[in-house]
Amino acid sequence: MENSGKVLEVDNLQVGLNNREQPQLLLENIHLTLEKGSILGLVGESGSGKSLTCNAILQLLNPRQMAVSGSIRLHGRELTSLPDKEMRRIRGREIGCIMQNPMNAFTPVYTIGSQFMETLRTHYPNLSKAQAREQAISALADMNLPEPSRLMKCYPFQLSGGMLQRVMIAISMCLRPALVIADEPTTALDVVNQLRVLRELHRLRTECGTAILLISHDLGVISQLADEVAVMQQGRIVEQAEVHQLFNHPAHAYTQTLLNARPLTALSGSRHAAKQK
Amino acid sequence: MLEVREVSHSYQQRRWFRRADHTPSVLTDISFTIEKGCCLGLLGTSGAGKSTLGKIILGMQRPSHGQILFEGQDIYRTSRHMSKAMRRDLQVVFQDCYSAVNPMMTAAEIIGEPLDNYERLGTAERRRRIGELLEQVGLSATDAGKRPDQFSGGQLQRINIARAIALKPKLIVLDESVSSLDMVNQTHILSLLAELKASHQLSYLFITHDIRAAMTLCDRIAVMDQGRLVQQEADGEALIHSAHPAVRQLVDSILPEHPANRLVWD
Repeated sequence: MENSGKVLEVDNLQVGLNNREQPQLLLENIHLTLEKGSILGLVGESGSGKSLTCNAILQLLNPRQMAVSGSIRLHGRELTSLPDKEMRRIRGREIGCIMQNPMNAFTPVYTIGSQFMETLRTHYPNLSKAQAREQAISALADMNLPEPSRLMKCYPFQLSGGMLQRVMIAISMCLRPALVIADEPTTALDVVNQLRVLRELHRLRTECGTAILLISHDLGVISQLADEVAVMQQGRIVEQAEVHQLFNHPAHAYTQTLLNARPLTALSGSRHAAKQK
Repeated sequence: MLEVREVSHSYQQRRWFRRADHTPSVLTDISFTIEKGCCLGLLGTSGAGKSTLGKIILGMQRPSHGQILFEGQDIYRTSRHMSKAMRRDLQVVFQDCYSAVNPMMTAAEIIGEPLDNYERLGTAERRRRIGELLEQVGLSATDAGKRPDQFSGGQLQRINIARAIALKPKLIVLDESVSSLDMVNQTHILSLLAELKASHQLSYLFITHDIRAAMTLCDRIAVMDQGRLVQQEADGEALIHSAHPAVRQLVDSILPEHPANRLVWD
């Protein structure tokens, strides 16, 4: 099962809003495939349905409010029909998740260490506390975080956003998931921390062969990491292409708009985008 | 117009039964000036003290040492808080556009609040002014009745800008005002800010960590690192070739915009 090429296959995913007066289709005809060790970038402006897609893959949408149809397969196993209990086992262990805002992803009243160990021991119940602690410390050290054993005793608010984001990546990495969904992992960070986080994501892919679904509106992030890019607009994928292809020859008008919205000044001499508007 | 003179600040931790012990200083000896109609970019990583400095200039936080002179007057001198007239000339636009507005108020109420505080306007005149402000920031007067949850992030940031310019201020502090928006909206808001600056003779203090955004809008860029002002340049190119390690770090962390120039990490 582990060595089959395709990690995630999303076929004809549709998400609609269960609204009696005016039912609304939020996502239409989403097809995505992720191979082992590959990074698929999902771009689009805010409100285009990027995060909704990732919530649908994680089966986190409330069936009372949203009607989800289509097929989502992880290693060939259908996720849409799985019972909640099974799905809970998959979340975290097989599909890792990195959220946009690291400040909100942790409980402020527990230490980093206890939250880290809780995650580990939920998925491996026969792991002793000492073993879990050891694993957690080595995972934090792996992420190039300073003084991991002291970090374990810290509360989330004592760390900077960039550090917390790296702690979150460490947590999602230590269970060795086959797929990581990174929903705007660097939007809340400054440029220096952004680079550190991206470097860790790159390592995750090369060293562990994890497939990453990278959601971002920042084309710099996408161009740095992604192998393939899907462009979303109003709940539809309007263009999907290999990253060089997409940046060199954007086919869809919306992709061109996005590419033209890149920062007006280009650095280091190459002023290819002097003034766009 | 605005002069920051040797400002230093440290957040004092109050401890019961103990003397306040060694407190790390957040700002050390900062001095600069902003002229009328100019935009100064304040660049730095998170934790460099940019926002603290912004707060001090807005009169929300008295600095431990130093003075802020606004049109020759020390803003902390007169009383505990700034005078009402001075506060009118200093406005702010924050990063998080959603938490900067009251979700229960309509756009008209949000923009009208500063007008109500300073100017006595008749109903018709007030409505006309609000419509005018909405149009200035690229929305339409028919949006006046909508509430914040009906706007997108970019539109809401425009409403925040409309509220800031409602009283025709002289200086606006833009504290990471475009950082949380997507690229398309960022470009629109930056060009809107540039237009308003030209038409209203506004001065900006543009706080950001994105050197490219700063270069598009600012006349001068100052770089902060660990509470100190390390470099000030009128020309962005000079920053890009700067030798200072803190500036280098900021410049080198910028991602290339095309997959062909990817940074190599192996």
